[in-house]
Amino acid sequence: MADNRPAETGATMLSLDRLTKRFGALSANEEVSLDLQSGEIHALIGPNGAGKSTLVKQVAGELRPDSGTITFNGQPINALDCAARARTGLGRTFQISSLIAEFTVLQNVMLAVQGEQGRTYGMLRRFSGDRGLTDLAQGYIAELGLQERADIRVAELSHGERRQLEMAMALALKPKALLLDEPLAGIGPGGSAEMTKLLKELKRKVPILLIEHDMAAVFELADRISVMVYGRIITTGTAEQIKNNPQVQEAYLGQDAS
Amino acid sequence: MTRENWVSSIFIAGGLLLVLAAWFGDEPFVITLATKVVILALAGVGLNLALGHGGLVSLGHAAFFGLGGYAMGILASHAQSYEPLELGFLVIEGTKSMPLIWLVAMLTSALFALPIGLLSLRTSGVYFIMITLAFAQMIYYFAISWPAYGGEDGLSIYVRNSFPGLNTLDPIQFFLVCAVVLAICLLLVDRLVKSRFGMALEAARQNPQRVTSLGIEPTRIKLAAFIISAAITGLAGALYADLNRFISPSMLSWQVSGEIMIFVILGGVARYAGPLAGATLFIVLEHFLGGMTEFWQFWLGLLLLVVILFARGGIMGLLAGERRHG
Amino acid sequence: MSLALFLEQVLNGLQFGIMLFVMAAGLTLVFGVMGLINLAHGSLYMVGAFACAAVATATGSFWLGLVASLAAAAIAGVIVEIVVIRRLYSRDHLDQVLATFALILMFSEGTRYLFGSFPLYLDTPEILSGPVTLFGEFQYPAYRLAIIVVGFAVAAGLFWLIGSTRLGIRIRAGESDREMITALGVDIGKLYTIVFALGAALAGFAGALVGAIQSVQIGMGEPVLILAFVVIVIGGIGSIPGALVASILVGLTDTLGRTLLPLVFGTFMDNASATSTGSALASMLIYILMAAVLVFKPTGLFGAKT
Repeated sequence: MADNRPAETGATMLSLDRLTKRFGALSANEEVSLDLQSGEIHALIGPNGAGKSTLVKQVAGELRPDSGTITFNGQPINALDCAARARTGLGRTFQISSLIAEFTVLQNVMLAVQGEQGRTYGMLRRFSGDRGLTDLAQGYIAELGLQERADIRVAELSHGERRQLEMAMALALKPKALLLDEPLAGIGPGGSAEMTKLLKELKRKVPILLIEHDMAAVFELADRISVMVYGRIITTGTAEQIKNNPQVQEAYLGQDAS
Repeated sequence: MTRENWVSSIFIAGGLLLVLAAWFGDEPFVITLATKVVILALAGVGLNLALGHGGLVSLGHAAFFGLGGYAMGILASHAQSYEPLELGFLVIEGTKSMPLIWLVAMLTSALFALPIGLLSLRTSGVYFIMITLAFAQMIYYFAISWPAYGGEDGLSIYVRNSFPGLNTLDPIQFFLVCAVVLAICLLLVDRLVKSRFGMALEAARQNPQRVTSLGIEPTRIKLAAFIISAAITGLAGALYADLNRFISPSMLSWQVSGEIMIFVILGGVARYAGPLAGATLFIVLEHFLGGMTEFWQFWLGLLLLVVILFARGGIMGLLAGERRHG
Repeated sequence: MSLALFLEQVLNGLQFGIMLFVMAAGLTLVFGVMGLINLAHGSLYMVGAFACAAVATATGSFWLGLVASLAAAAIAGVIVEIVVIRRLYSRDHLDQVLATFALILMFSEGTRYLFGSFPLYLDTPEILSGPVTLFGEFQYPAYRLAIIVVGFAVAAGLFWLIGSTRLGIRIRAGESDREMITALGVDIGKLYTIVFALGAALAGFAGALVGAIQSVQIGMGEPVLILAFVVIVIGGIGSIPGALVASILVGLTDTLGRTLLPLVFGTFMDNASATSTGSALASMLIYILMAAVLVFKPTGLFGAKT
């Protein structure tokens, strides 16, 4: 059941304070600090292998940090496991679509709604006829433009449709903040424009920590951008500041053609 | 109705007609055989919930089958000897009342399933399979070396247990009791599978990581399914011991675990009528093939191998096509 | 309890344990390299025992019987691998369990068809039939001592094979990255067959050795198989050192438990209750051990980190 306290505007929804994670001699994340304010999209960019996935896993709860704290909606969440963090309102999408393959689009989103509502141990009422689930799910599906495909099984969806489904499920959790891991990857130009539009509208309600490689989208969407190289944040700023930062250009933009 | 529902219904109707014919034709042996099918199907319904829907490959479900049987055996033997069971300060009178015995059998199995499930679900994959097998083996060896209830030789219950208003020694009446129990369990399990819990379980089987990200704990869901599954198989065990009026450690053996799994697979994993189809096929093979050759289990093995390698969906898969959720 | 009796039980525990290791090593190798759980491993144990008994009876030589057990089990392993097992590598564990369970049925009934339902006669070889005096103190069966020695020799041989030979390198590489070694030109199919046959030979060998002191009968392999599973769970799947430690641990716990527990209970219970309670609890001891390990280390003592 998602925590029902409303987020205040201008508040810091997510705060990472000197997160460090090492794997033996390899320092995947070193003293990473960043924060996410309500109403913004904060993008995290960096070359491959910079440690962005490790950071996402630490925030989501898949990895325990060696040191550092994570504060979400004013509460420290280091001690919470993945499911508990999801219940506090921290939503996420996965870099590689993680869906329930044998279910249809509708059933996947209904499951997400069920996760948000709780009452997962209901054993008597039929899932498929439950208006409490279907109505809300149809709404989220429509927001992502997947209405035509609601009864199609995941196995038959295109790659772009799966990314859209990931997003619909993330929204269904009524998140207080979203951790989006490359939502535009492989989605195609049409879908990409739609998704970008959706994210722009979304940020007013739900702040987003966005991991993305699509630079055009990042510069269009992000209010702030942090750049991660070799496990450290080297700089944080607006799109203009980042574009003109020589360190960033050298480390990352110089190599990336987009 | 979907194709699967048609096939399931025809199958069940056919079975009932057969029993009716046997009753009219005064063939109590066929009725007893049908009762055995129904009881074994019930054991399979239990396993199917954990295995087919939950993806929990429990190779130790005989533990619950046997525990249910022993619950019945212990209660009934104390009743027939007129000596109550004394566990320290707790004194339990024996009973030969079926509903009470069923309740105890289910509770006993569920109670054992809790620690077994908790420990086994700390692991996954192959570890889970081996551990469930090991725990069943533990209970098996305990039953053999505990002399109070027959040890290796087992325990005979002289008279069939009683059900209010019925003459349970009459084959057709006992068959009806078992058939109604199976029907009720089938309906309840079907309800369960199509409920919120059932969908969360299916999702947990397919993608636990995704389920976690939705705020649902997959391990807890699987544990609940495991416990319910154990209770149902335990109930079947109590009925089986009642059918044979005999309980022995063999009900706890790995062979029985394997057999229950065979019914479920042959019939069609996660299918409504799967365990029933599988149990029927197994008993038919045991009876007819067993009549032709004493090495019939060789052919059963071959059939199972062929099904696994080439016809994965079992009988229901062949007849009713691919399954749909919800 | 006298020291001599205690030492005797320790040796029995070692003997039990080291044979379990020989059984478990094959199982854990197959799982580590091919990711396959094989319930028919117990059948290969039985095949080895039956081959030994049949040949020993026919030729009068236990040693020829031993050779036969290795050959028969290895050949059976190769045939089974080519016809059935290799179709299972890409399947999920449930399918592997069921298919190899089916193989158990076929092996058991097939053996019963060939040899009948009664146990076969297999006796220990002449030169090892007598006792040996240990530490100048007590007598211990020479054969059992020989098993302990042979068992540890097999363990040493396996460590050498895995650690120092080309096959061993391929096995270790195969355990960590299957695709990589294919890319490097290793014939995966052949490697898998060899590993499977090696495991089968080990099982058959153990079956023959143990068959001489227990009975050679249908279904003798499955209880040992299940114990081997317990060993692997405790030791960690894929780990041969883990299997060695765990099997000795299991062997000693079981043997000493069965001797000591009734004695312990005997100090405050009457004899009859002590024996029954003691042996009932002793029969559960190794599973309790397994459960205890799982609480702290779900992937076993030497298993992968969770």
